[in-house]
Amino acid sequence: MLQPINVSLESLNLITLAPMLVAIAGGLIILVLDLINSKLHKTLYVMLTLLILFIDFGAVLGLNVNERGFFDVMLIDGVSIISQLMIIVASMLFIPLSLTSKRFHEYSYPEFFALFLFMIAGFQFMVTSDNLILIFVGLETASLALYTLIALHNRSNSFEAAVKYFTMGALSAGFYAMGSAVIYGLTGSIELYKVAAVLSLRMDEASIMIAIFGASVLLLTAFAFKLSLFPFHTWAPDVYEGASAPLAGYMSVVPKVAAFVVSIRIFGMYIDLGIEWVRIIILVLAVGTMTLANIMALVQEDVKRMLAYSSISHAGFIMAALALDTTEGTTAIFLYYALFMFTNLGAFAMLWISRHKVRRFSDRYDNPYEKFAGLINIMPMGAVIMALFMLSLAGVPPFSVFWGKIYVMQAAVNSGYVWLAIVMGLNSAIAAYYYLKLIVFMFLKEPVKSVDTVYYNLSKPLMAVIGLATVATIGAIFYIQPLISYIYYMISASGY
Amino acid sequence: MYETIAFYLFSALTIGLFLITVMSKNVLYAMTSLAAGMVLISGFFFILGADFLGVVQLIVYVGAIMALYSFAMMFFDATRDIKEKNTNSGLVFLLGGLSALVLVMIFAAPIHSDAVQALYPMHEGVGNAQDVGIVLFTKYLVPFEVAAVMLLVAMIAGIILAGKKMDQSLTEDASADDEILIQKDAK
Amino acid sequence: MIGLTHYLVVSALIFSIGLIGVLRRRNLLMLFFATEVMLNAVNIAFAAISHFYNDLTGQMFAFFIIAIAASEVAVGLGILIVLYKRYGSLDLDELESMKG
Repeated sequence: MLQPINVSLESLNLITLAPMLVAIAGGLIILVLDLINSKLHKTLYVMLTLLILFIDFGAVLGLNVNERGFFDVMLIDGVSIISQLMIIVASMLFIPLSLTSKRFHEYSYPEFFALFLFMIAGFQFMVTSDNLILIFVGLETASLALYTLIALHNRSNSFEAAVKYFTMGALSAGFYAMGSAVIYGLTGSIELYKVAAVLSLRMDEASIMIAIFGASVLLLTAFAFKLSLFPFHTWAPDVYEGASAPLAGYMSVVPKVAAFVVSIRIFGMYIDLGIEWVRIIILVLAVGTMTLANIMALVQEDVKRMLAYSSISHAGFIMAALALDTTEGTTAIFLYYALFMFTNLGAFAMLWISRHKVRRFSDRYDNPYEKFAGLINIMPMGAVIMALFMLSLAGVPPFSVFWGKIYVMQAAVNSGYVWLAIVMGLNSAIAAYYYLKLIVFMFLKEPVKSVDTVYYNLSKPLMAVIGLATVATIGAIFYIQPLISYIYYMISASGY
Repeated sequence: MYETIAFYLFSALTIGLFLITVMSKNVLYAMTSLAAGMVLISGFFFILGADFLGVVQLIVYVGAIMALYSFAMMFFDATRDIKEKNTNSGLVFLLGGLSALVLVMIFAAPIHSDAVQALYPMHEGVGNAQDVGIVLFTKYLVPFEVAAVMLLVAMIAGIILAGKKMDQSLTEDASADDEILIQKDAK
Repeated sequence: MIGLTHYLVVSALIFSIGLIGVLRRRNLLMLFFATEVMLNAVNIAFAAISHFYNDLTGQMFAFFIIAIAASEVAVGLGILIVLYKRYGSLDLDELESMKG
């Protein structure tokens, strides 16, 4: 017979669950509030969500580095703390963007905010574990909520986007599960630290090399879908186009940060075991992604699609840093995303303030280049800010993304990949073309239609978010050094 | 002996049924064969001694998921053959065959090793459900609760997506904005 | 005697059948069926490995895969219903307006 099980409460280390519990409880509170009074205005929900995110942020800051909890399922290390902080900050920038001056369908649902908080909890679970089951469940919680948030925008394009994203998500879930099955078969465990221990014992068995390799390919495929790496990137521009602009900006940052954390855990382990194939495949994917996405971005007619391809290309850039598998390389990933987050969300927010209910400039696109022609005459401040974001994305010093690019290249050179740094430099040069194209349109062309409503959707909260993003973009030079040392400290503390 | 017969029978039947699911032009055939295939997969679980998993497979997959699909089919016209321009090119089958080959090669490798120790072993003389329960509610309690949140998300998503409120889109309706303006003026 | 490899090969074959389905189907409902097939294949692999290692972790993973499949279906069908209301079709080619 089985013995009764005694578990002491201290050994569970309940504090490791606190941040996610805050988010989940917040989501439930919103649902209950809606049940009590269904007439509440969305402003209340936005403020409540912000408050919950603040508490969540505090709860994450209160965690100690390198702790495990709940039968070792939860893992709080530096990587997980940094990524949670980034996820929460990006969410805090995103949520005020719902206070537009015009009505959009998704914000009329209180459930939108509840699902949003559940999604954050899902991402947080995903990054605070090295147990493949919890990673999977967290990932799916977040993804299912995200598909719904896209579809709630309620126009034909957004349904199409949701269904495409859903299909790709389901396919990648299949690959992830199969990859985990192979890993489980090889090691009898699905906890990465135990997997690493068993695999290092079995590395000399030549006959299982193909299985080890196969598992990595399956998992890499799954994450290539999530990270929109070439050749699995085809869904991304469509999904970004169909989703509302702030959500598209959010999608190009937060789910990717979470997926990168899991990739660091899985593929970092592979590279540490001395399996060089994985590194080579990642490098090929990274170089292919940044180059091809850049070339595709050149021929786009729509600013949002251009930004979508540009964010794919940035993801390729960062993927290259993953292949380095040095502390500096891993720092580069988070540094890059921390800087890219503000600029990219700012750029997408600029598209959001110019959003019209009907497509005024083109039958096909919401944000064709023509819409921004002569913006400097209509809306001088907006044009300057947009230009600033574009310059930052192009990597012009001293704006934020420049520092990220320099740091990634430096990390590549320091680990002996000079060619990689050169490819990155060339790609940045190509990318400058399409960012400058928008600037040319804004500053040098004549407006297509008579002056009126480019800033149709503008409101004070949106201006506040854009202002914040602008300050973060311009002021990067002042906070870059402490940011690097904080991230570097956290990463090296967790042993990556 | 019985295990061998059962194994070959179940594998032949599931592979055949899933092939029908993938190749059939008729939604009803595809769905029925999918359901039948899933029932037979629970047969594998019973052979493998995972009784509780087999029961869950029957109840959740065949009971809940297939019921959900058949309810959804009432929305879509299911009896008629679907006309789809399937990408029937050789490339798809080449890719599929290639992946089958690679996967089989992966699994044909001697994955099983005696060096691997069971971390959560099954106990002799203890029922499978009891064993599963103990591991599920100690080690995997957190994922279990997260799965509950996931199901809550799925439920909310299903309700609001299929609900009536989605029929009229505020995103496309420009008059929705005037409403706000009128209310503001009234104040 | 049936060994672990037998089960895993069956699982690999079913997984590939599902993959072919996902690649060739253009009707979304049929495409969802194919993803279910893939997840089922993985479940066989987990149950088999679990049995031969005498370890319960594999069965745990299979449970969670079933839960995930169930919630995916709920959300996926929700999206399909709004799509069908809007377009009157579930064909990926017919509803595709974004390309490039």
